[in-house]
Amino acid sequence: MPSLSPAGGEAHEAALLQRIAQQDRRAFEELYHGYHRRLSRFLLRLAPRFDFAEEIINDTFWVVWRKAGEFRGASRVSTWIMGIAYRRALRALRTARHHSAGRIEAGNLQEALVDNAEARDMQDWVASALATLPEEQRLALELAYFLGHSCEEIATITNAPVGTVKARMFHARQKLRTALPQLAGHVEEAP
Amino acid sequence: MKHGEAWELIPWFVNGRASAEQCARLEQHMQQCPGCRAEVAAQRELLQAMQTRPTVESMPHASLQKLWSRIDRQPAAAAATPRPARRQSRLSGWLAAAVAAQAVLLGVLSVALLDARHGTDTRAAYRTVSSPAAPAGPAAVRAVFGPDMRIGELQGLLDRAHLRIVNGPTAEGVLTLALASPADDASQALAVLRADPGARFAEPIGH
Repeated sequence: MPSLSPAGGEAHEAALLQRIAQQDRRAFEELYHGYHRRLSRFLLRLAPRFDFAEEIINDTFWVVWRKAGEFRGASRVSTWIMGIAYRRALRALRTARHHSAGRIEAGNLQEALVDNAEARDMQDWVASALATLPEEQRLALELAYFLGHSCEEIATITNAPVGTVKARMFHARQKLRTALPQLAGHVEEAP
Repeated sequence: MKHGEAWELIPWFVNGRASAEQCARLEQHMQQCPGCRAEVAAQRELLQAMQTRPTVESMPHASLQKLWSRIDRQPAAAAATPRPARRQSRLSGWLAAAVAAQAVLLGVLSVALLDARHGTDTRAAYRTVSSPAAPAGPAAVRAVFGPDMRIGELQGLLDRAHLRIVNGPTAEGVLTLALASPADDASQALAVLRADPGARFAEPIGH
């Protein structure tokens, strides 16, 4: 699982933010480079479009540039940045779903992103099942399983109570269990 | 630990973010609960399936340059929330990028046609995507290039990376690139692309 502080540790990232608040461009570029890979991988999972990923990353860092001085260290830097990206991704996904009057379909690109033929079937099933989840449930699952965030971190990122995060995960798992009976075929019971 | 509490904890047991104390209590509960044992197995499988994609290599240079020009255009006192109008124009910008990428390919093709019409030696060092004499290396890389890249720049970059276009651009602007000769190294080609500010994204194609 990738490091939660991809730009080089919590203290270093907090120092970068302080410099960014003083309009230090080199600090900004370092933070941007540190987070670009993590964010683009995360966003390309949600919609296989490079323009979508780039737009959200740049919207996020545009806010980082302007609001760095308001960061008070109440959370980790990574949680703060993910929170900004989360709100933009959620809004974009909702708009996309609204315009397509349904879920975002995995396009050719997503097809192209998988090359491991053995794992392909399972990944395809999982990808299509994930695309059927409501956005908040999908994002909670991605934050936990793809990015490795704790329950409390997801609560901060999504600006929701811990109980809501647990409920979203609970419902996401329940829906996936129905959609993906092939997941550990011996699931015996639900509570 | 009660069953409901254990059930809720499973995602963070599986992703390694539950505390040692929580893990110990869940493990104890699982000894008597086949349902939770099965759920842990299922969630581990799900987490693994979600970890495997995408395999995209991100290349932030071009995106960062776009952001700098946006920041530099913006007066310091302007509002911090992006306006909807900008989204529209940037998406149109992307469409323009796709068209530009197609224009690049058309440009390469027309050079190839000119080449053929003038009866140029096909063994010339300058190879095009349609050169029938060029040895067909396996598709090695998929990549997206910035909309501002000129034909000559793309050609120069591909020559340096020992790559040539074998397919695309797709609607998303993705080009499939092959090694110019089987002796070339795909990881070296990727390194050349990665170092170039015009390359947006690239990923190796596994075999």
